[in-house]
Amino acid sequence: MTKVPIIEENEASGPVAEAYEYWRTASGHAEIPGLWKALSARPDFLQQAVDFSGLMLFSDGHLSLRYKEMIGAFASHLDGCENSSGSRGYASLPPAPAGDAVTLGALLRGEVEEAGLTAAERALMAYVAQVSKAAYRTTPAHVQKLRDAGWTEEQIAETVYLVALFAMFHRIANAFGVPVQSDMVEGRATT
Amino acid sequence: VSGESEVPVRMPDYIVEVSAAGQKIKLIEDADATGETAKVYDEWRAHSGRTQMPGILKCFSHRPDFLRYVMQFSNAVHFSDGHLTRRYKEMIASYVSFLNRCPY
Repeated sequence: MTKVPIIEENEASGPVAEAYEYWRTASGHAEIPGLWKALSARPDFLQQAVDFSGLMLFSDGHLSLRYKEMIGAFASHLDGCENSSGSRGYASLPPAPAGDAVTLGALLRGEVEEAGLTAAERALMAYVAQVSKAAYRTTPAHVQKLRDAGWTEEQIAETVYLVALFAMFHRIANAFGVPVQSDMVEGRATT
Repeated sequence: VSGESEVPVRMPDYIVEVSAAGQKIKLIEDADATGETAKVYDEWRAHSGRTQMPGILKCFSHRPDFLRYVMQFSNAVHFSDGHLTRRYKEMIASYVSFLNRCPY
């Protein structure tokens, strides 16, 4: 039972049923995660979210998928959202290498020092934390640190887009109270 | 609204702080846009009837494919009536701007 009502799959009809089918086709999965059902009040937005999530969260861009998952895992911790680790793993992607599973698990717990990160990756995670908690307090010096660590302008920009997108999904998940669907919690880490 | 008197708006202190920091990540300005970025900027200008891209949209200039989606879902969810009217959406947006300390 969620805090805000959602439309379950067996109750869906009309545009909601169409949007759910759109998600199934895009993901290759049969069962809709709770996070996506939380968008059922606006099935038009649900379909748009499927499209831009596929583009931004579930494929390589200026940042590789590996870095996107690292940002997502750490943002989950920063946003106090337990739901997202599993829901991010929906996109029929290959299993993460064992080392990545350790890294992502540590970031989900907020244990940056235990995540086996390089100096550049630690700098990126520090920036993720700053943007997540107080983006208005970021400074040109924060951005310069990332450039000095080797991150390009496009990668820095994409990091900001990702933190913002994850914040949206995390707030939706937490406000609706959708059940945790975490492969990681079950010990089946996927990216 | 036409006919209403102008009421001075006291701007929050954080706006001074945020503005003082200046631009942090480089954006692609209107005059510098090429390729897909220029194409999406043109689409926005044609849709809005305005000539200058707003700064908030230029923040997405490093991913013009995503910018196109941002424009689409903003129009669908924010800039039109839905289950909530535009008036309530603007009220929510104004207060969230304050909560996030965002002058935008």
